[in-house]
Amino acid sequence: MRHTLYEIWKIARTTAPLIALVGLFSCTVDGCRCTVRVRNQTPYFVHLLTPEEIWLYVAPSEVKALKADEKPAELQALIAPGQGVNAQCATSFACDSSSCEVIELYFENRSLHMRLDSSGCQDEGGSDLD
Amino acid sequence: MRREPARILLLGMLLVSITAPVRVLGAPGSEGPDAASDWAREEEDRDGAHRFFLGLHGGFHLPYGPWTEHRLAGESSGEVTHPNDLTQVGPGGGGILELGARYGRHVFTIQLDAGVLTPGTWQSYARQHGSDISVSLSKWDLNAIWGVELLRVSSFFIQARLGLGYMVVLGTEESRDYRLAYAYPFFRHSFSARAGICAGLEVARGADLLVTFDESLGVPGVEYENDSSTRLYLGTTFSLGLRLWPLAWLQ
Repeated sequence: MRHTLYEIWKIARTTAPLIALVGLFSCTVDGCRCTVRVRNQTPYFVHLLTPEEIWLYVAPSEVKALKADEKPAELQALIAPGQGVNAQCATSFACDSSSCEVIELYFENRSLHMRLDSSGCQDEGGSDLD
Repeated sequence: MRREPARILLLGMLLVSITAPVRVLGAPGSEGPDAASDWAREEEDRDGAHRFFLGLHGGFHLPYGPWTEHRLAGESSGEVTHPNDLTQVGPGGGGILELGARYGRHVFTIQLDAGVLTPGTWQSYARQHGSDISVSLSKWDLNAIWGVELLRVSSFFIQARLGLGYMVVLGTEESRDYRLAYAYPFFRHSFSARAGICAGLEVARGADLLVTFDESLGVPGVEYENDSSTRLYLGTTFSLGLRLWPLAWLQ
């Protein structure tokens, strides 16, 4: 009995990381799952809202990883209230963008914008999402 | 903030008093084990009608500690440095429903606290800084409470109480500037504990008037993704209400 339990424990210990990896980036009947990174390049705390998640008070320079799948979902970003500035923008995001790309939030002319930053990818340039 | 050590000390004292032998404050039974059991039996015989109860109370809740602070408190963003005393949560009130049973000097209660909390200084601060927001906060707390009677003089009694349960704080912020509303995800569903004391007076047959003072905490409390500080739910509740003993009316 004790031996059997030990065997089960050994199998579980080996397979758990594999299951976690598959779960992190996997294709199921519902589609592929991945994460899309968003970096707050504004000097303000921002809120990030998607149909699945709410991230409040994302600090300047902070990066958040949003859950995404094949189907485009809307990402709303807004300057958190109480900072003297009201600005928001939205875009859609999905798994099809390369994993090295980051959606950057920046503040210009009292407006909030998003752009794809591909500086972490080779031979790719940034593109504006606005 | 500086009052917290005193509150923790008070909680400790309550815990000690509740777990110490119940023969305190000169209550019957301090003469020895046999006398104590006799006293308990007499109480049960006398109070057969006082076995099951339900209670309704109105409560005032005073939250305190780091969990009440707003995430922006003390932070700088843009050209603004936000004040250190900016609060996310303020005092509130609500109703308390309890169902319980009494066995001798021991009282077992299931208690539901439901109430609203005020949005601290946050809502007015945001409005002063050009953001038209409206915040609604509520608090739900379900506890199993064990109480023990420390003193009974005629129809007046004092009980110490200790409880464990589950606490939920819900918050929603509506922004008219952005025309959207979002729930606060940083209020975590938490396990809660409370310790307190209540004083009661039998005001009519089968009806006790109770004043209760409880200190409560919730773990993990408030958690921000980008902030590692511990923000347990801490609060003091004062309540006033009636505890009714339906069997006493039937006899």
